Amino acid sequence: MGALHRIRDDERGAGYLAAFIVLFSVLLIAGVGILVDSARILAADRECSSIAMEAARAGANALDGELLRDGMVTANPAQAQATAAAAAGAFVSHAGGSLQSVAVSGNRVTVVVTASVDPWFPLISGRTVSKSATASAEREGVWR
Amino acid sequence: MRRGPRRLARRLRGDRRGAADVAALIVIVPLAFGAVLLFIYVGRQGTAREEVTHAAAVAARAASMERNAGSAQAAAVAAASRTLAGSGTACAGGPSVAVSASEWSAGGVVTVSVTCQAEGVTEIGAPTRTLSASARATIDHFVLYGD
Repeated sequence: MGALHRIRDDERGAGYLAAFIVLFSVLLIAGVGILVDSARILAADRECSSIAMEAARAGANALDGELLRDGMVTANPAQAQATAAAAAGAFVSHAGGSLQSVAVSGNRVTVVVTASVDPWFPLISGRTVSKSATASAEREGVWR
Repeated sequence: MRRGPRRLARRLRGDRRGAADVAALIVIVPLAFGAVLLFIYVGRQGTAREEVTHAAAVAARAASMERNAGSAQAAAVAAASRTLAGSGTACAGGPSVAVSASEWSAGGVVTVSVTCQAEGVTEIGAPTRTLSASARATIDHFVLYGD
């Protein structure tokens, strides 16, 4: 109590300065904490998006062979789904993040990837980012 | 005009509160500047990290277009340097790029790691930090050349 009174009574002295510095440091650390953790969430968001994109490409590539042999860009959906899921799954498990779903519709493969971020500072709550990306296999030009 | 500073000095000497205020300013102003520089440092590191991750993704895609390890390495280095230069991220000594692939054929997966020595803020003793990121890309089964 004594220290508190001294700080309150002494408006311009060392107590005022000490109180200011303590308050300032707390606010500073909080500010840096929020900045760092939101940057990490943003980074996870973008990385998730690029992993999803590459996983969708891996899936669409897995479709390609049988599609082109038939000369058309449609496939047995169940088989296509299994091939795409295997390709995308193998891709994602090495890249960090987790594969949420793989959907095949005609020549389009849509992959959803999620990643969760635990904040370093206890100021903002943890977040799970989820990104989806679509890649399509298409025939171009004339194949003989 | 010459009297200005002298009068100010006399006024400061006579002001009893002045000493504490000046002491406060001497502590607070550098602290405030330090805080601003700290925010700049943290922000810059965050941006640089993001750019290195992006450069790795671009380099992985570029490497996956090539047909062998040698040309893939060259393509990845070129793509990573171009991406980092384009975003204004300076790496001391240029970015270092490592390329590896499960196999150099269709369906193989190319992994590219980019490492960058991002500069710190010397005024607050924030050091140069090593940022690295890796990205993967699949090698296409079919590639169409020309039209």
